[in-house]
Amino acid sequence: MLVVDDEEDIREAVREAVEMIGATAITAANGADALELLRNQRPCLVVLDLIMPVMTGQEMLAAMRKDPMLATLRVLISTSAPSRAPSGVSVLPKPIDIERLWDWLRRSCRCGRARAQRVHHAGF
Amino acid sequence: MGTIIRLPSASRDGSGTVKHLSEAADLAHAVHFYEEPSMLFENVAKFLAAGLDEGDRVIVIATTTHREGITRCLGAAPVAHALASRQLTMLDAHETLATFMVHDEVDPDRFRAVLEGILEPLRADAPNARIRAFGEMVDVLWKDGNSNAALRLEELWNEAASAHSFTLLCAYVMGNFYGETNAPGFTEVCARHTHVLSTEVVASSASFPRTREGALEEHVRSLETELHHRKGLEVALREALRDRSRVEAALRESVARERNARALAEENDRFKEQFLAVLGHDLRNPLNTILTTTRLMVMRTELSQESNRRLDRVISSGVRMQRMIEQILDVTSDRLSGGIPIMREPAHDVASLAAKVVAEVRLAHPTRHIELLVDGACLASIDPERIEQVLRTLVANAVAHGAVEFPVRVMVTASARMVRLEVHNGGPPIDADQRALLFDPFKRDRKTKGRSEGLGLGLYIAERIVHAHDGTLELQSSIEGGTRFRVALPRGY
Repeated sequence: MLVVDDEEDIREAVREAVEMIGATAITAANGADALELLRNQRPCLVVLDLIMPVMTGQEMLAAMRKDPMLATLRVLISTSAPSRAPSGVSVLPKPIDIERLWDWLRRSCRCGRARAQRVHHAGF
Repeated sequence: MGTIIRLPSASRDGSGTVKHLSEAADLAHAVHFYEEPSMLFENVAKFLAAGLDEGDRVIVIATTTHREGITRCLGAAPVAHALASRQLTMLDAHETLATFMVHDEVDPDRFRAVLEGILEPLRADAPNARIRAFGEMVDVLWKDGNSNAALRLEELWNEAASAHSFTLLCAYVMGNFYGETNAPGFTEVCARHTHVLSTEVVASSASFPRTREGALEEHVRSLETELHHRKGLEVALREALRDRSRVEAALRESVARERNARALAEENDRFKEQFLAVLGHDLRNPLNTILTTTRLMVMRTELSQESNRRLDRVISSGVRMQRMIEQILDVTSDRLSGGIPIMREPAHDVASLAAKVVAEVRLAHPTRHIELLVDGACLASIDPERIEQVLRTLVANAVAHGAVEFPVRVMVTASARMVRLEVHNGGPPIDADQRALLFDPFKRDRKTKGRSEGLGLGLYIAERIVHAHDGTLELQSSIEGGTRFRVALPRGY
């Protein structure tokens, strides 16, 4: 999975959550860095923040849609303002609901790394 | 300088002409006709100065320019001193007129009340001092073409002067009486005064020559009168123009002031709203990290129960803070973009939203009894997240403010066009004065104790969300009936 977010803390938290179910995550701090990573790597899912410096989530999404190699990649917009997300894209509101993220990951995973394992849940 | 003529009809002791204005203290109700304002200023200043010297209480009711002119003649320092010691009272002729004129007529009762209001504090200050007044409200009325009101006002002054025993000096600009239509008016004015302080021209017009030379003289005099007439008109016109430009300047200034104040207020509001929006957004990111990371810790680990409880406290505080930030952002977006944005989903089941919220609140308050009643197919075109937010606010409020011994009832009912939500709780009603504040942002009753949960924006936002759905949110609260919030949402399809 590719996590694109300008906040390092968020990137790391999401990476940790992804790794808890056996998947791996690569990260980028903005759209431009993410597109660079996508030249060589092909994740099952891109979790994309909207407001970022250098290249925003909207701009990256537009660039992906124009590129036939990237147009079919599954994208999940992760934002605090779901009403501002572009239409036609799934949204994962912030703060991220980890269980929902896992659901998405399991449904999108083509390589079988994301496992439907039960994780100890302290309950809150 | 004019001459003072004691009018025969009003003469009390038959002593004749009074030569100097300082003697005017003996006058009961004198009238002064003038050509040039400068002459008026000088004469009035003399009249007033004599009074001030003798310790009289002195009242001036004049136009702004005339008050300024009189002040110049008296000297700014003595005037300031007399005003400060309350020996001198200065009032604006237009403003004072406005207090007792009703539909272009003098209201006698109001006039008496206004006069009493002016005299009463003076008598309280110095019960034995004589009172001396100069006024030109009559002149203002005359210039406005309302000579009847001016004459009526003169009569009321006479009535007041005999009742209160004070000396009164009135003034008219001579220009008022030039020209044919006002000729009888001059006699009428004179008839309402005990003394006339006139210009030489007016004083001499009292005699009527009979000879041919006399007739020529009279012709010359009539030409002089005509000249005076024109001069008077010119003076009046100049004065009117000065008055007008002064009023215009004042108006311009006040318009500019008002515009500045409004611009400042608008800028202030914009700044506040933008500040809150930016602040809300920037606060949200680190809070997201705190919540996500803490949840990860709780999920992942083999931590002790105690540690988990601590982390739960971190999470619940974080969630509360998150809710406040969302509220601030909702209010600012409501203010900035004229409403809370909603994303409608067609035919969404409102009852299932209510069930979800009720289940959540039951979980958070296991000891409270919360009933859910659903009647009909409650489908409507709504933004489910927003309507859930409304429900959560209303149910949480009912639990927080309702009496514990009563259940909280949530009802969802459907009719052909509407879906209705009702949240009811028992217990003491909401005061009428508090009710008005409930839907006002940031105006939560400060006296209310023990409610530090949030910013008090919940109901305001709930109302705005319902409004964005073209619905209504109503409140009923009584001792017998408890408190009931009713939401009506149009189905919208």
